Amino acid sequence: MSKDNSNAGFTGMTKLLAWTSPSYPTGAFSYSHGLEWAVEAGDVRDVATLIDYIDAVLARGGGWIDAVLFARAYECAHDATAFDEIADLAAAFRGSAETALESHQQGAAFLAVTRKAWPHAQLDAFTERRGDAPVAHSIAMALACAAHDIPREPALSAWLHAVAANLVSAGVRLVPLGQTDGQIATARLASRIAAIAAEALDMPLDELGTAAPLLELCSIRHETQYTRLFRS
Amino acid sequence: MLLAEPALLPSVSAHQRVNGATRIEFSATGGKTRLADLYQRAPCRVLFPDIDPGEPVQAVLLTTSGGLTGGDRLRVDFAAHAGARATLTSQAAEKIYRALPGDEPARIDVCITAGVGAHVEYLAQETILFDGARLRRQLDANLAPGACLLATESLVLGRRAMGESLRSGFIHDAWRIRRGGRLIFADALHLDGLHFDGSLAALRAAPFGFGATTAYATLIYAADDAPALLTPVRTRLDEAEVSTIVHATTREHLLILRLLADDAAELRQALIRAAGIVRSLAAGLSERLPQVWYC
Repeated sequence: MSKDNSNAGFTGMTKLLAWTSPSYPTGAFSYSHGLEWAVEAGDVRDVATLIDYIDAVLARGGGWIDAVLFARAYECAHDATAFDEIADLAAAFRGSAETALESHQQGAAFLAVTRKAWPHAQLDAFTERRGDAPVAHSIAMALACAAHDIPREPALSAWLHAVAANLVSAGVRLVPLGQTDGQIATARLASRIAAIAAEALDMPLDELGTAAPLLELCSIRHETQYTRLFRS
Repeated sequence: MLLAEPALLPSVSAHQRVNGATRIEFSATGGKTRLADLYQRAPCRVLFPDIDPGEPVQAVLLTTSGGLTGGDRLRVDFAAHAGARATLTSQAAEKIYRALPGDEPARIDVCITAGVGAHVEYLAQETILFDGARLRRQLDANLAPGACLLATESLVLGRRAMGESLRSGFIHDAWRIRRGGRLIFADALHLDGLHFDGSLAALRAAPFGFGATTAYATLIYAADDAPALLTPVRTRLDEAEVSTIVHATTREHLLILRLLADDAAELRQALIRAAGIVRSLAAGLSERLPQVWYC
């Protein structure tokens, strides 16, 4: 599957770039995954603390859950029963109302757009089976990557990079930080993303969990934050 | 034929391991809830105390071994059939002692089943982990549509008042709630120091981890109308002015409360208030929890 003749590799690469681009119409720009509260509380105030926050999301929070579920879903994408079970787990594995909204709204948007622009029978079949049940963003992305033969490792790294870049972008607006500082954060997170992706690829589902309760509280506190720019 | 003296065998097999289980079933006839089935295997025991008028029938779990260590297992099955109203609680805090090197984690599985219109409370007192403890715990709840469940569990990462702290060890504490067969809540706290600078203390202290807190609780109310309780619960919690971190959020059919406190006593006070508020708003029950919580 990872054997790419140069043509297939190129095609896969452009799909991956498109699906993880901030311009892919999933509304990613409107979600901060609790970061808006962390800034309000003074816990995130500069580049270093922004990196801490995003690192916690990816290694010990909701981003980690998504990464492991992405990896497990990808490898059984051609087994509808096993895949749907992971899709159910991903839809239910959210600690707050707003992080659920963030994942499910983007999952629905991703699926709708991708089915039109890069149609595939597997995406249609999954949508049909799913009915009204929510779809986690990571699961929709994992299915699209598997269906379109994009290799698992770069797909997962790209997914994590997109999550990180979206939070950096939110941080740049919220703290606020200069554009260059934002890119410094993205660059520093890059080596962590490689390590986190490698760990997620081998993580079995019965070890799946978070280890950052104060992160989750940021998202819950955001629900009652007085002035808000973001939906999560 | 014994080829080696017991003392020479590896530590894993040199210790007697606990394998306790209990099954408690309640059913309702003519609006009255009665015990329908009971099974208990040591060290699990169940007591049925007298209850105040208006309160659901009560079962109290007791672990007679005084705590668990690596390789020990407990399994609790609790069922309330259609229309039954019952509360399951525990006699005292559960203690998890240091596991020996190479031991499997202590394992606690709780499975709750609630039939149509059943109202179940699972109010477990805190689980205290001693340094080096390894614990794998899972709560599975299977609810029929129209059933209600109020459930809480808490973890104390070392008793601060006793100068104790969980610096090494392992915790996997998972929840799965299904309603009408569909998974509506999945959650797990997973603290594995081996995968984080080799130390659980480092994991706790990492940014947005536990900060200075040492006690953690989750309280779930699952019911068709659970999200509607969010605003009144928040209002009541604000009025109660508990100093502990208590936050409430919702998902479809769920109200979720998370509590984080500096020590076990503070968590307990806040949890008693929070659980009391939810049970009174949800079911018109007394804000006072079962008597064992005040002993």
